[in-house]
Amino acid sequence: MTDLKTPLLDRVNLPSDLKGLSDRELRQLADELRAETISAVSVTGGHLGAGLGVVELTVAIHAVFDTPRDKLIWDVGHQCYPHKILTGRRDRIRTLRMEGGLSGFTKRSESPYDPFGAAHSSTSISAALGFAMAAELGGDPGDAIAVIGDGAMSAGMAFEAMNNAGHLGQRLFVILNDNEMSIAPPVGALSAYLSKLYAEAPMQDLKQVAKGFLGLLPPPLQEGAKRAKDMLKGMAVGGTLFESLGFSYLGPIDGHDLDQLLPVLRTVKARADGPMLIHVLTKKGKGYAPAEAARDKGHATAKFDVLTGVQVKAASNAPSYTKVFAQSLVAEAERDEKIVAITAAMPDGTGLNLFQDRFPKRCFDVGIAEQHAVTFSAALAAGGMKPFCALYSTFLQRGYDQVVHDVAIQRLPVRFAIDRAGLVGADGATHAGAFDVAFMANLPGIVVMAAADEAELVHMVATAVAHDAGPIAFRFPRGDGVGVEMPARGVPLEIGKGRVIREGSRVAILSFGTRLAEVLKAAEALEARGGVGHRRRRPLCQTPGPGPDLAAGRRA
Amino acid sequence: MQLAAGHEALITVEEGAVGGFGSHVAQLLADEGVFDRGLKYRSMVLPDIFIDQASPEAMYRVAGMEAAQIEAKVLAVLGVAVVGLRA
Repeated sequence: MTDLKTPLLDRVNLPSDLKGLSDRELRQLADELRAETISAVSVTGGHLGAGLGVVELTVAIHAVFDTPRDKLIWDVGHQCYPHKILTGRRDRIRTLRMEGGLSGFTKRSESPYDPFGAAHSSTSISAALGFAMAAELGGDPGDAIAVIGDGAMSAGMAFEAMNNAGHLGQRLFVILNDNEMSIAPPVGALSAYLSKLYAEAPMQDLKQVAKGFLGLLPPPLQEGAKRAKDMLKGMAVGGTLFESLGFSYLGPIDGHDLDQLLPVLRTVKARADGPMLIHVLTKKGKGYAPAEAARDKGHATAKFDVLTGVQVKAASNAPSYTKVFAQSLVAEAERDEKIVAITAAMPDGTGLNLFQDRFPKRCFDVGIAEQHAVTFSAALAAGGMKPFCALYSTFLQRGYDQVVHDVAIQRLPVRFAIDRAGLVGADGATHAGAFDVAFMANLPGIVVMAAADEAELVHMVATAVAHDAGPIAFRFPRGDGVGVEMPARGVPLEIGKGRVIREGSRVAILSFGTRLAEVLKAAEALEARGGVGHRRRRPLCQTPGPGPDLAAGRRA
Repeated sequence: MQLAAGHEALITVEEGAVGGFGSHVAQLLADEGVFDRGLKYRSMVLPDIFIDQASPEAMYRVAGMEAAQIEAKVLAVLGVAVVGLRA
C-alpha cells in the first residue's frame, strides 16, 4: 500500500521516542500502528487478529514502561507484530516469517526488546518471574511484565507460575489480555469464570480494585467496587481466583481505550509492591472489519487484499495430510463406536473439527493442556475406548512425561496422531517436529510409524484402530500429499514390515516417512548415472524392542 | 538384516533429528554384529542445529535432505568419483 500515511509512526523508531508524545498523539499513533500492521500482514500473511487486539496495549506499555530495561514478555508471541514495528524493526516488518526475515514470534537473538522468545503458549509468567527474581538478586535490573491471553492463561503452566509468583511476593506485572477466545472458542471453567466477571461487572460502573487502590476512586465508586469484591468473594471458587493465588487484581478495563490503559499502567508502575494482575478486555481482530467478522477473528491469514480482506489461497492438487487423517478417522469411527478423538485447543489445525461435527459427543477439545490430553487419553483407553490423541509433534513435547508414565509404562493403547512432523516452514524452529521419532521410538512397547504418502496414512489410521496391544503413533507432515491414488478404505498394515519400492544391488536406502519422494528422485538420478544399483525400502512400521523382533521385521 | 547382508551400503533417511529411526537401525545392526563383518552405513537425519524459518523445501536443503543431496550421499558412500555434481 503506497498511500498509507503514518506521520507520527514515522517519527518513532524505538520506544524511547514515545516519551515525547502527548496522550492525544499516542492515540493517533495507535491508529497508524494498526494500519501499518494490517498493511504488513497483507503482504506477508501470518497472525493478524492477535496483533490487532493489542495495538493500544503495545503503545501503552512501551509509553509507560522503559523497555528494554523493563522486560516485556509476550505470551506465545504471535501478537508481537505491532511490538516489533515499535522496537526498531519497522523497516523489516514485511519480511515476517520469510527466509532471512523477522521471526513471526519474539526472538532473543533478534532484538534486545525481545528478552525472552516464545511460540508455545503459557510460558510468559514463568519467564517474567525469572527476570523479576534475577533483578532482585543483583542480575539485570528492571521491571518484568508478562502479557498473556485468556486461552494461554488456562494452561497449567500459567497457574504454576502465578502460584509461585504469589508465594514469592515480588513486584511483577501480569496483564491478562482477555479477548474471549484463543484460536478456537474458549473451553473450560476458566472462561466461564472470566465471563462471569465481566458479565456482572459492567466496565463503566464497577471496578474491581485491589486493596491498595480502593482509595484512588471517588466515594460513590468505592461503594460499588466493595460490592463487586464481596460479590466475587462469594463465588464457588472461594474468593477471586487471582487474589487467592497472591496477586492484586485490577480491572477489568477496556484494552482499546488509551484513556484507561495509560492511567492504570502509570499508577501500577508507581505504586505496585507485589505481583499485580491487570485484567484488560480486547477484541481479537479489532479495527479491521474482515478480521472481526471472521470465525477465527483473523488468527492466521495468508496474504490478503487490504480493502476486501480476501485471502490469496494457493491452489493444491492433492489433499492435505491433515484432512486425509481426519476423514480417515471419521470413516473408521462410523464403523467403530469406541473411537474417540482428543485435541488440545486445535480442532481446525488437527482436522478434528470434522470429527467434532460428525461425532460431537466423542470429540474432546481439552484446551491448551497437552499433559492433561495425554493422561486423559490414557484413562479413556484403560476404560475401554480407542482414543486418538491428535497433537502436533512440537506440542506433544509438552505432554512427554505423561506419554512415558501414564501411557507407555502401563502399556495403554493410546493412538497418537502426530501432525506437523518434520520441518514446518515459516513458524521456524519453535514449531519444528524434529524430535518425536527419537523421544517416542525408544519407549518400550510402543509402535512408531511414519506415513510416506497420504494413501499410506489412510492405512496407518486403520492400523492404529486395530492395534490394541499397546500405544501406537503415526506421524505425518504439514502440507499436501504427493498425489497418489487413494484407497477406498484403510486396511491395517503389518507391523514391522517394510515395502520394497525398487530393487538394486549395491545400496539399500531405508526411508522412514515422506522423504521417500526425494529419495525416489535421487534414485532416478542415480539410475541415469548408471553403475550404481540401489534398492529403496520403506519400512512402514517399526517396533523398537529386542533385536530379534526388529530383525524379523526387516526380513519380511 | 537381509538388506544389510545383500548390499554394500545401507542408508537410512528420516525427517527427524538423531536418535530416531536411523539410530535404532544402527543399534540393531551393531547388536547383531553386522558391522563386525563390514557394512557401509549412513543415517541421514536433521543436523545438530535449530534451522531458521524458510519454506520447508529450503529448510530441507539446509538439512542436506534434498534429492540431489541424497544422491550425493549415495555416491560418496560408494566412493564413486564425481565430476560436476551439484553438492
